Amino acid sequence: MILNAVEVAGLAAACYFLLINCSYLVFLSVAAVEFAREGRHKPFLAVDELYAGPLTNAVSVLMPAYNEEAGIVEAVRAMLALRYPVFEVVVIDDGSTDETFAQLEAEFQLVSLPAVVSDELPRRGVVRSVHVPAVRAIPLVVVRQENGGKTRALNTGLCLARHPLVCMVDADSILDPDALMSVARPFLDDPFRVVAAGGAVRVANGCRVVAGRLVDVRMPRRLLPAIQAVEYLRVFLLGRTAWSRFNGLLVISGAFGLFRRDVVMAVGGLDPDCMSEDAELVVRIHRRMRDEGQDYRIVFVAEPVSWTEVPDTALVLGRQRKRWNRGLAEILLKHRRMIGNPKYGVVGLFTLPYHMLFELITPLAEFVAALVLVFGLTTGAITLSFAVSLSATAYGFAFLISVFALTVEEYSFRRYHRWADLGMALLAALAENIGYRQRTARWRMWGVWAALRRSERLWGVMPRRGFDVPTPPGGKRP
Amino acid sequence: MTAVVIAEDDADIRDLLVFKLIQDGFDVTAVGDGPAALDAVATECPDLVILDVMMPGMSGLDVCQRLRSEQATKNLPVILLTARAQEADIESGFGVGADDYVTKPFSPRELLSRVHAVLARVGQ
Amino acid sequence: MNSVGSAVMLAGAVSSLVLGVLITAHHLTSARRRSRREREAQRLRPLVFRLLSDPGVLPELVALDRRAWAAVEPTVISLLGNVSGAAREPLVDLLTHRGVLDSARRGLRARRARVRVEAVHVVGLLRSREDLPRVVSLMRDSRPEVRVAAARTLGGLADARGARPLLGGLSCSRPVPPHVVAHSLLALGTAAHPVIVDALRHPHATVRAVAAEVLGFGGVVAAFPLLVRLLREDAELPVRLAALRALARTGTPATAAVLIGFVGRGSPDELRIAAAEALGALGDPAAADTLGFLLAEEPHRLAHNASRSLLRLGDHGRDILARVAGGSLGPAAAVHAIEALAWNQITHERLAAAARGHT
Repeated sequence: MILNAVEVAGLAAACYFLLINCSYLVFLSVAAVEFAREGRHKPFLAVDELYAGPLTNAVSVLMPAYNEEAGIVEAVRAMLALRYPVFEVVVIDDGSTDETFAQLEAEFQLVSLPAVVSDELPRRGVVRSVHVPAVRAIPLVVVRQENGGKTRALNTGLCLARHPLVCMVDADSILDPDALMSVARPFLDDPFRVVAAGGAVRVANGCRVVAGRLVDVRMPRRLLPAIQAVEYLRVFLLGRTAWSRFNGLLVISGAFGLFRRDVVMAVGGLDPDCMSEDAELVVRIHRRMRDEGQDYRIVFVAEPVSWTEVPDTALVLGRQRKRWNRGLAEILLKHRRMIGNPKYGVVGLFTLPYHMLFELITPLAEFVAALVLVFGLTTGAITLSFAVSLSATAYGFAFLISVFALTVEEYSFRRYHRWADLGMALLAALAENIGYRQRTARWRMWGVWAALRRSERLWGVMPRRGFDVPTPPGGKRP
Repeated sequence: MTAVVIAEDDADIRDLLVFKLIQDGFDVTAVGDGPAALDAVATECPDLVILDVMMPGMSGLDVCQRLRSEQATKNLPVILLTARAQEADIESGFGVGADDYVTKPFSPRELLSRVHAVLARVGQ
Repeated sequence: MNSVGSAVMLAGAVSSLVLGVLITAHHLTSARRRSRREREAQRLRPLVFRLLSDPGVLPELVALDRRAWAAVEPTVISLLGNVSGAAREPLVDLLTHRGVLDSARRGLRARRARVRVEAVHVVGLLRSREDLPRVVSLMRDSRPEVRVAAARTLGGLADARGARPLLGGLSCSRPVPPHVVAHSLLALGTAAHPVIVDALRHPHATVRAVAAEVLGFGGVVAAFPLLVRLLREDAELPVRLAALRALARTGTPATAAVLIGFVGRGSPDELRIAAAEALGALGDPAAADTLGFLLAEEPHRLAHNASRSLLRLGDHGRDILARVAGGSLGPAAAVHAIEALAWNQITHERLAAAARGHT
């Protein structure tokens, strides 16, 4: 009887993994075909020329900052140096208790401006003061608000933004100099329908960064971040491109997303009660657009635009994954009426159910599979050949997917030039299946549990840092 | 010999400018971004700087403002080079204290004559 | 069951291996190809630069073997897009002699979309006007990227005959993005204006909006009455906004008087906000009183734009701001006026600092 139960559980887990990995394979193939069609190598097309016209949409870059004294000046300077015709940078200092503001004040010679901040978003932060550069005509605005969290800070920024497009970035992200150009392009090509666009996020650990700018792309030299680098690559190449292709994109990374300001304002800005406020905003936009029967597009640009430091200790990684999965669970709970509802098109019928089945429940399946393997083999409840089959569908297949993703990367973007990086990537793809997946499964399960119990939030202060200080950061949802 | 520093991120255009200026008898240092331009100005003490406006890392306008704000380079002649032919840019270009402005596509011969004109004006 | 399982596993292992080999092969060959190409380019680029002022080196470049040419071609193309004047001619000659134009012409009919895109781009760079009819027909291509490239090339060719097909690309079932069309229409110059003015009466809203937008940059006085009519009567808000922006840019003396009529509560908010901003750009002091009253109006952006516009209307505008700041229209209006006056102070100090730095 017991033997039977173990075998059934193992079989169920195997079927689950077979399904999930097959879906990855489909996604990846869609992405590969898409890339091959587009042709990434366009030596003839000068982007500058495209943006030289007077008709380009201006962008307000919103950059919330909390206790970022280590890297804030560099981050703002890098942001101001993005290649884009017309844009402004709005930094929102969320009641920092360190020298964040003083650093900015000294570097950009800020003076206070008695600015009137609009009340279009009721859930914005409480503004203390607004500052602009006194001497040089730099398109920079610094707002100081009472500490109210990143989401309220972004809402404050939305109220102050002057331009029709808003770009939400994290102060500790490193942006590609062409990031704005790449992600603004869908708005230019399809101006009436595109309401939001996001770009790919990559892992910055191990890369060489000078003055807030990436000068050399490398794989992380340590295994834990390297595994995440492969993970990010796979998530962005697999999921996002394919979902975007069918207009079912659910997540635009908070590390770099571009939105039409009027649309964000119309849906009421960001929700401070949500843990993954960036993903929740996208779901709400989908919902609003479908409710109003509008023809709209939310687009993912596969070009790597933003590079983020990922956790390099299990402790911080655990907190991050717990937070992410909790955020996802909250979104699915909040918008449960959309799930399976044909009115919400691809999002309702496919994206949301998919995320529920294959993101939320995955940790449980991981757990069952590991249990069956350990328990079954030690007690002899399953045969060796069964164990091998289960491992192959769960882990071997996953490895194959990762290698496929690496192949697509090599042929379409080719950001890693060294043999050592390639080797590390393959090693990470292999190592991901041993230990890493099982551990993240545990954290993710806790996250779902926390969301269901609606327990008190315990993310507290997101540990962030400049790129030279050796304390681990919080990292962003890929 | 008259020394010129060029900052331009497009290698083809940069090399073309270097080629033309050397042909005209200048001593040329070429770099690919803003911070490197500031370094080059500090070490080479040039007589003139040519800056591309849209450069990664630090824009040409930024570099120009930086040069203007420092005593040693306050009066160093600067020519800005940009793909953006817009009034607002030209305004901000002169706003940061550039001496002249050349828009791409540009005529190499015209650029050279502007270099000479700016140098002559300063020399007076 | 067991044999099927092993077969599947074997297939998985083999595919992993194949993918691994693919990665390695690509990594190896592309790195090698790249470094070889860079060496070649480094060697040959001075020759291209010399060509710009010395046509004597043309035969040498024409005679390059295929590999050397492949290394140096991107430089030639990039320079062609970046130089103007007498320097262009030798580059065009070189590409024509190398047969690049002929192969581009063949490429316009290629089966692969990417080849068509590159071909039509080269035709535009070389400004080969005799290929205009073929480029026009590509405006109806089944692939969007080809249509976009064709639209850009029509701008590059700078031939007024391109205006009609460009505008047609906005209203057909295989559309071209408006900004691409607008950009290209701007490049056609004044010869295209009659066709664009006609398009202000087109039944399709996008066509009217783009035509209005483009005419704003040409300063077409002849279009003035039509633009005013679009601003007043058009059923589509984007068209009205485009007409408003165009009128603000053309800036005839009558414009401010027209725009003042659209800041009142009878107009949609978007239009009021845009009109308040445009009145500043026009700089007609006659608008100052009306703008002053807007400081007490909602939405926020309307009052904000009105306050910043007043700064651009000379002493009269600043006087009004000072009065409103003193409370003449109530506290809600006063804060906008105070902000504008502070902003004025800051921009003045910035200008003074720039002037100090310059002398």
